[in-house]
Order: sequence, then structure tokens, then C-alpha cells
Amino acid sequence: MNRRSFLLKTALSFAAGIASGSTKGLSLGQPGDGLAWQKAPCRFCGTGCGVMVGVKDGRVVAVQGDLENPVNKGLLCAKGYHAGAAMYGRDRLRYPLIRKGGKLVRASWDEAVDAIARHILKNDDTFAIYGSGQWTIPEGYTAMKFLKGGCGSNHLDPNARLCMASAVVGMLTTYGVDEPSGCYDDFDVCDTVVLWGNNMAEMHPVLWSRIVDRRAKGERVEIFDLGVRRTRTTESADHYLEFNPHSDLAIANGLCYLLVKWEAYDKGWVERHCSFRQGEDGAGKPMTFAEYVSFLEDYTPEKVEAISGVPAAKLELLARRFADKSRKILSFWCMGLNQHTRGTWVNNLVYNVHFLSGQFGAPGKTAFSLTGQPSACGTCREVGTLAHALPGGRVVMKDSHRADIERAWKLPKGRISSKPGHHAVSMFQALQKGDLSGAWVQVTNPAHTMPNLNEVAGNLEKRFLVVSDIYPTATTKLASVVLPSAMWVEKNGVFGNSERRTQQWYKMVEPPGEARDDVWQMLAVARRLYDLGYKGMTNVDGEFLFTFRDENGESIEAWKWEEYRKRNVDRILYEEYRPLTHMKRKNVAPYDELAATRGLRWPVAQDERGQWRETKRRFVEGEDPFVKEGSQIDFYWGPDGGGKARIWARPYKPAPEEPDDEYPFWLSTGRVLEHWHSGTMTRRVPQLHSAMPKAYVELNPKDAATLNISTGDRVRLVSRRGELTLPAWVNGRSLPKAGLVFVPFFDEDLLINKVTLHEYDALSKEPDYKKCAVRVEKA
Amino acid sequence: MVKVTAVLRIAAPLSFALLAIWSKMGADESGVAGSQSPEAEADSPFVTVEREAQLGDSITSSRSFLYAPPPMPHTGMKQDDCLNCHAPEYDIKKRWRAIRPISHQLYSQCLQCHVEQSRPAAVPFVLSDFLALDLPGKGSRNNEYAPPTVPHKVFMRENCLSCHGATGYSDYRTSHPERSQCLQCHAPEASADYTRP
Repeated sequence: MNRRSFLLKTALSFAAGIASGSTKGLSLGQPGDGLAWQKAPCRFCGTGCGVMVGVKDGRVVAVQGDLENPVNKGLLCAKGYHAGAAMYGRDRLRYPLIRKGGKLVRASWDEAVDAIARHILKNDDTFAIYGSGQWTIPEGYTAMKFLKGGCGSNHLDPNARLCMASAVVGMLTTYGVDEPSGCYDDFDVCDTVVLWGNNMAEMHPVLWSRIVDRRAKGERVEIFDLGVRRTRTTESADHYLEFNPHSDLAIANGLCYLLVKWEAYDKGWVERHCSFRQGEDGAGKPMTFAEYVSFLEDYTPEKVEAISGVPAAKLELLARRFADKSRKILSFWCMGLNQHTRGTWVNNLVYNVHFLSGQFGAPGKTAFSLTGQPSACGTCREVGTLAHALPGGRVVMKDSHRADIERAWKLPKGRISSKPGHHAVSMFQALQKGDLSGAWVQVTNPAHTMPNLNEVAGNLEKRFLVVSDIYPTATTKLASVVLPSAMWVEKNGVFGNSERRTQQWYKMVEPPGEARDDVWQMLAVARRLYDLGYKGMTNVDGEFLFTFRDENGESIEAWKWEEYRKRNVDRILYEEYRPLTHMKRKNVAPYDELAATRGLRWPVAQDERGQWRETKRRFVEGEDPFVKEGSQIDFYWGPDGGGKARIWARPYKPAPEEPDDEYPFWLSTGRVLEHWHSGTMTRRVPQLHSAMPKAYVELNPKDAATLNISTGDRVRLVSRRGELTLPAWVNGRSLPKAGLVFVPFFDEDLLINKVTLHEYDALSKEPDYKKCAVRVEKA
Repeated sequence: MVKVTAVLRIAAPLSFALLAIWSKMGADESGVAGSQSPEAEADSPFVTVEREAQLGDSITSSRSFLYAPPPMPHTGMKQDDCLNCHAPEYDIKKRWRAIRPISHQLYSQCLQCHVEQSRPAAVPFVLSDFLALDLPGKGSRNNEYAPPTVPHKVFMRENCLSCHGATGYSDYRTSHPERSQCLQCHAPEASADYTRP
């Protein structure tokens, strides 16, 4: 075969492949002809891009970026453009399934609802709900009311525990209330960007473009990329600071050391707005500035270099930027700092750097935690679908908070338990041991995404596992009952994104087959429990817990699907939830305002003319309506009072498992541009699947040479917990540092979580998927 | 020979279009691939585009639906590589045959939307029942001599010549590429633009 015929063959097989994987369907004639466009937030990540969804003949046929949405201004990423196509995989779940004789067989909704209700009736204290940052706000709110209000148990936790819990506890311990101070507008005016283990170019592409495209307009943005592998993000960075995994703690402290040593920190800012704190837990003890300075002595550039591998000169370069008061510095992080056994600490430390330098609370100056799911903020954090939380920033441990919610939900006093339930990892460990009898999993895929799967997610098939999903997944395979769900624009919804923006959309198309909304599923089971005489689903007036009334005061029988689908139950639930956001000053906008806009950033308050005004920057005078006059910056929930936030002395401590002679490599896991989380949606889009068909292990070329591994070779990764064999990719998309291998986690046929560690941060309970020790063998 | 080597070097990250042209050249028995220089080809770009069109390349042959970003038909690209060939100001004489200039304003992160496709194509994970918004059909015209309207949105398609110019798709190529102010005669249909009331 000569070169040309080889190329010819390749060309033809490629062309044929594209044709067979193509999704060509109808020619729909003129786009304006019967085609309607409607706004929605994107289904995928926490950026919350606005999309315009094109619907024709009851089907989504196209998706475009929404020019009017200030988040993305018309741009989307590869996933966002294909959000519509992700709805039409041929194997959509179309009717309920119940396991009978070991097999999942078709069942009626009535049968499925009855089976779930009867299990809960007998096991209400050992039944958990495992939810998601992809839950809409009304879905999360319903689940919360169902379990905490109805069943009196707190075994409710979301997959967001695996994703941003460390950011939450970081904010709570630093300034006493969750969610960022800054917003996306800061991205347009900052001049320096610091990325803490964050591959924004692939994980938050539209936000990354928002920053990097400024250069095309002649603006200068200097980018520091702190990472353990060179990525697409590094390609656009000015400086790459490669560090040893887990040593980010030392780097952040090292920056603080230099700011203090050079006396380049912002004394006035720190005196006005900060208190100092030490200790390993969430409460800590007060400390003086002098004590803090002596704590920092362990983090001289030389010592930091020894721990982190970052040359002292590079650390000093970055510290000089923070010392330069004319700069506007923006820090970003996501899973790199959050999926970390010291996740809370390292979150605290990034705020330290920004507080000491006064780089906070002004346009372009902030520390910004990015989120990975479309409503991790809106649902998990604001509604509070966590094992210890109640709506609007309340916690179950506080009597007054429980009393608030019991009043709002008309519950008898004492219905809500004061004991926090199982958090995510502990929930699955309890299911494995049998301490929990069953769980209802919605909008997530724990049999794929839990860390250390062999140990943590074992025995699921032996419990009463209910799974609401849209496609068969690793989790539905183990379920006792599978419920087909409506997806995205097949139902009404409200999401809350990374910058506190709440966005609403209306149902545009019917779900396939008998698939139904997750909210309806919960209402139907709640009603069945009520009909079976279960006391929990009755309020103090003797009415059903989820009693909704229309404008005329007539009760709506929303548990009946035909009734539910005629109404906008989302609006009722959201408006019931909205007043609960006021206590912690997280005031979200009214539903109708959200419907009329491209979302509003809370706190949203009415001005003197009755206009609803959003808040760009929290805690900042002139922007946040709850800030005390004359304070400039007011951390009004600061845990030490006086409007102050904390600077924490958090030490560097080694990771729980580090490479040794037997397991000499670090293993880091993560995502890729094309696939979203466990890939159940994006892998069903031919263009995305073809772009990234399967998982791989990325090696440093030097390591690959030593082990005699080249691209395409099969490589076995072995940890103390499990092993996985997958193809190698050397000199591919990214370049891991020597001694580190990287594997993406989207592939359900190559589950890297059989290898990962389930150690978690003691404060946030978020596991570390980024670091464990493995042996690398050519298979 | 130098030129042959150059062609082969370009061939490493070959585009689908390029491969298609090449294979067609074989069928034409027009000689050994690479015997013609890129410059020579660029002098008659229409020929190669015709060949490409005969092989079934159309505006929607690989993308998911009309307004989806087309996937990248070649592999191994880095972010900075794209504009070397696809920048709109790139001299057509120097550009290798049918490489199209980008249709929209300069976003710098090309690969966030235009994803690579594996070769040979991956076996589909699950078949898709997505029915795509397909070609818009022709714009309407008042009479035989009137300019037709633009039947699709213009956002992200501001550079008309990307698809309708000399290197564009044969079915849609303009008869008058020398005119640059397209929208002064071809009015976009409001119904094709979701931002219009």
C-alpha cells in the first residue's frame, strides 16, 4: 500500500464513519417556518450560559448561544451547542422499571409509586435521598421537604458534596456565609488571573474565552497557571507554576509570608476587615497578628520550593503581583482545590492571599470559586439539600432554624430532626453495610462517580435503590426501581449558577414515552404515603404536606400527572421557597422577574421605585443593599462579628496517601471538554462521542520512555484499592508532570473510580479524586 | 521534490476536505498526489471545491444541526494553530486549496467549540434519534432579478464568504465574489433571527 492509497482509505473510512454517526434527520425547510426559539440556561456546567432552544414539531432541533444573556453573550462550548441532541439518545428511559426475579421489567407508574411508598412506610428512618447539583431549585426544595419535613430524617445529600463542599465550608469559615462575593463582570476588568489547579479552557470554556478573548481587543491580561499538568489552559498562560500535588497549601502560605515580610500587605484593609484565626477545625481559636507572622515562618520561598517544587523566583514573581496595589487580581479554582483532603483549608488560604493584598471586593479584584453543575449553587447550596442544612442557609442543629422551617411548612414542632444525616460518602458506606435500607437517587450516577467504588458503592443491588434518570447508567443497572425522568426543557425549571444568578425556563417539549418530572415523582410518592396513612405527609392543619392552591384558593391535585402537567407547579414551589432565602440575605428574585429576564443575581431587592435590583458584588457598599453605610466592605455574616472575615493559619500537611516504592506514581482524575461528568448525556451525541470516544491514561513522556510505553499501548494502573487497564496517551492533549498520571472519569466502561481513594476533607466531607498512589504497568 | 515534501508535511494533520480532494485526484488519474503545488491549486480553487462537493461535503455533512459548530476534520491541533490557515485575512493564494476562513468574529479558543473527530470514526455509543434543524432552503426573492433574502441567522456567520465565497460550498457559492457588502442587497429574514421581535 503506497502512501496515497493509505490516505485514501483513511479518508473514506473517516467519511463513512461520519455519515454513520451523523444525526441527519428531517430537512425542515425555512428556519422561520414553524420553528420557535425560547430561552433557557444550558443543561451542563455551573457557568449558566444562556441558550436559545429551537423547537419544531414538538422536538428540539437546534440550540444557539443567547446573545442577550450577559453570561455568555452568544457564545457556547461544544457541549452547550449539543445540549438538545443529548436529549435524543435512542435508549431514553420511557417507562418505569421494577426488578422482578433479578430483572428490570416494565411496570406502571402506579405500581412503581406504590412500591416506593410502601418501602418508605416501613423504613422512613433508614431511607435516604441522594440528589444532585443538576436538580432544579423546585426539585431540590421538594426533596428537602419530602425527607426532612415529611420523613423527619436528614439522610439527604447531593453529589455536589463531591464537587464543591470544600468551597462552601471555605466560605463559611472565612466570611460566615456561602457563595462568592464577586461576579462574572470582574472577568472583564481584571488584569491578572491566578488559576489554582484549574483547567478553565476545558472545564469552563465560555468563561475562559470571556477572559482570554480580551487580549484580541488589545487588553492585557497576565495569567498565572498553577498546576500539576500542562493543559490547554497553560497554552494561554504567561506563567506556569508546576507544583507537587497537595503542596498548594504551602504555596498559598508562601505568598502570604512574602507579603508580610515585604510589608507589602494592605494594612488598612486587613485592620478594617479581617480577624486572625488558628486551629484545624471549623471554629478555631483567635490569634494575634504577631502569632500569624510567626506561623508563616515555615513558608519562606526556600521552604516552599522544597515542598512544592515551585522555584522560589517564580513564587516571588507571583507575590510581587499581589504586592502591586495597581493590579486587579482574580483567582479561580474548582475541583483542584475542592477535591482535596485539606479542601477547606486551601480554600481559606486563597482568601488569605486576597485579603492580605486587599485584592477583594472591588471590580476585577476577587477570589472566585467556580462550580461544576448547573445548579450546585441554586439548589444544593441555596436550597440547602445537604445532610445538615435547611433552606436559605439554615442548619438542622439550630433550634431557631428548625422552628422557622417547621412554621413555614406547617409541621408539628419537633418534626425536623436536629441530627445531621449521612453525607454522600458516608451514605453509600451505610448502604453498603445495611445501616440504610434504601435510597432514592435523582439526576446523578453514584455507581460511576463515587470514589473507591469497590468499597464505597458495594451492595447497592441488595438495597432498595430507586433511580430517577433519563438513560441507563451504571447506577440504574443496580436499581430496584427505575423511574424515567423528564430532562431539561421537557419540564419547567430554575437553576442557580456560579455567580449567584438565578435563571428560569419553561417547558418546551413533551418528555418521551411515560417519562415524567422528578418533582411529580416525589409528589406522587408523598401522596401515596399520605393515602396509606403515613403521618409525616400531613401538616398541622391535617392537610397533605404538599397542598398547593391556585389563585382562587382551590386545592390543586398536583400528584395526579394530568393535573400536574396543566400547571406550572415550579412557580408555586419556587414562590413558597423564596421568602425562606431572606434570613441570610440571599434574597432571590420573584419567579415572574426571572421569567422576564436572563436571570438576576441575588441578593435581589426592590428599590424605591419598586424595581427589582440585582447585586453584582456582595459585601460591597453601593452594590449590596445589606451592607452597613460607611463600611466600604462589610462581611455582615463574618463569624467573628464586626463585619470582619477571617484570615486562617492553616498549615501544610502531607496527603493521606503519597507515592512510595510500591506505588510510585500520583494518579489524578478529572474531566475533558467534550464530556460532562459521567458522560451519560454527552456520549449520546455523535459529534462529542467521536471527539472523545473513550478514557485514556496520560503520562509524562519521560515516564513513558522509562516504562517503554507509547501512545495506544495498554497500561494497567494499580492502587491499593483496585486496578484498571486502559490505553496510554503520550504527548496528547495535556502533559502531566513527571511522576503523575491523569485519567478522565467520564467512561463507564473504564471506571477509574475503582482505583481512587475515598479519604475526604474532615470539615467538608469532600473526597479527594485528584491524588492517590498507583503503580503503572505496561499490560 | 521540495514541494512534494511540503505537501506531505501538510498531509500529516490532514483535513477531511484535503483527503477528499486527494482521493478524487486519484480517481481522476490526474497524476501522483503532490505533483501539483499548493500554489497551482490555489490558482484554481473552484476545481478542488467542485471535487469536494462531488464527494458529498456539504455544510451539514458532519455537524449536528444547522447552527452547530462543525467538528474539526483533522487531529493533533493546538489552540494556536487554527488561525494559521483559517484567518479571514489569510492570502487565498497562499492558503492550501479549500481551507475556509472562519465565518465569525475572532474568538481565540477555537477548540472549545470545534472538537476533533477520531479516525477512524468511533463506533456510536448509542444511536441518536435527534432530528436536526437542517439546511434552511433558499431565501425568498421578489422576482427573478431581485437579490434573495438571507434565510438563516447572521450571528456567528458574519463573514458570508466563508461559506459563499470562492472556497465555500459549491451549492451556495456567490456568482459575484468581488462584491463585499453582502447585506446591502441580501436582507436577513427576521423570522430566522431569534433576537428579533
